[in-house]
Amino acid sequence: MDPFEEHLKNALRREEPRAGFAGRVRARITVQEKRTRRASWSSLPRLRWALGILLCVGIVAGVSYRHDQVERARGEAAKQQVYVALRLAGAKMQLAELKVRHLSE
Amino acid sequence: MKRIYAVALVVLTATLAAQGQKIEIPSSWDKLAAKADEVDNVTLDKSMLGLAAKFMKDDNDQDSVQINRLLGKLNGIYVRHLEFKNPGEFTEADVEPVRAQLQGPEWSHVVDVNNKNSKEKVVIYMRTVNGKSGGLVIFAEEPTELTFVQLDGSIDPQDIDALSGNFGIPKDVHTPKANPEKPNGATAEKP
Amino acid sequence: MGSTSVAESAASAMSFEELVEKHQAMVFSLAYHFLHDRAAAEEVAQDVFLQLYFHLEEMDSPVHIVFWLRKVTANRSIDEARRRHRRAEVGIEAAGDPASPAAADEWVNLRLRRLIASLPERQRMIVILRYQEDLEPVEIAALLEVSVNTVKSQLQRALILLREKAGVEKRA
Repeated sequence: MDPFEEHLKNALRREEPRAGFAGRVRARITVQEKRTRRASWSSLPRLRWALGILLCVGIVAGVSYRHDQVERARGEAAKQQVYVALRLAGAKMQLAELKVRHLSE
Repeated sequence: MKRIYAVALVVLTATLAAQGQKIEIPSSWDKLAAKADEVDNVTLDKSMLGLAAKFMKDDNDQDSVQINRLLGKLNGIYVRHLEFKNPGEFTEADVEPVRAQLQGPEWSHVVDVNNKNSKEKVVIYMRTVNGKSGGLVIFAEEPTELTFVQLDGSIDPQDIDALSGNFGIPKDVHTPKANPEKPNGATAEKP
Repeated sequence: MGSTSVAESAASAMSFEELVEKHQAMVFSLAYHFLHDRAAAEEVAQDVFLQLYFHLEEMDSPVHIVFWLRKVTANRSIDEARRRHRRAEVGIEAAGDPASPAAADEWVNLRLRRLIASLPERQRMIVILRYQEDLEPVEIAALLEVSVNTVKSQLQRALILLREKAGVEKRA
């Protein structure tokens, strides 16, 4: 690395967040879990029944979970592609609009 | 019997109108891509758009809500975007096969800007079938960039314009991006 | 690294906290150097670890966790910047003469960070991954899901831009 790159490395050295960061993350997890539990408790009898079914079909649930993972990855990738496409479309439309404005001035 | 044929024709026309017409990109663009510094390829059919929309719902911000509305109108999104280090990497032979497909009766120019000084050309085509919008193609040729965007479905330019202020593109960007070899303070963001 | 579930034990809960403490500097710094805003970076970093907690069972190994954290932080930071239409202004304000060599270094670092924060998004993230995380172009390409050629050319352009801007400022 040349001296400039060394400067960049120095400028970009890792920094710690404010003290207590892990605790704040833990607090958010607790809040999120409470929300999840509240939703579960509201349909407790059905939940017990559903859990019983899940226990019996544990392998199928595992396969389905893996499928969800794959679907999530595909969905996120598709989402990013949509952003790329719309950004490019917007940029070139703006370019055309600017050219039209310039020509009419 | 004639009535049956007439009904079948109406159904077929309606089906064709509802279906998309994907513009084919010539294979020479694969060779161009190998020379390009930056390549963006997007191929999303209706099912993939549905999947993307499903995950966009989680984001819950204004942009995502707008995009979801747009995705609901589309059959497909197809993009080829190439950026080169130097001008002159693509020729008329590379772009003509694409333009030729956009000369049919269903396609009309809505914007056709050709700046011979800066050698920038942007054409926006709309597809209309039976009086209804069937999609949009934006085809931009710049000295070091070649961009093809097809939004297949019932979309009009206002849908895209509404999104032009998002994703880091300011609504009133002033100049095309500067030559990356001679950056200036007003360089527009690269996709 | 054990997997955790919603009904986790206290021991598992502690190990996740240790995981956070181990990687918080990396995640926070990626977001901070990209967004140039400590509060926004903290928010992104918290979101990333929250997501990690609920996806912990998908992690295969410590290496996978690090890859996942970098990737998600990069994506979240870019999304956050776009949401805020944020692009840091490069101030050429007079920062005052540094009082000591250490202060002079810090002054240079501050200016460089501001210059980096003013780069276009993709170049900015590539520079940060290269020089903060010491990643090779092929690793950056895998993380950002772009070609290696794109990473190399974007990095080259970013360095040209940064050198030029840093040089102009020095002459001023």
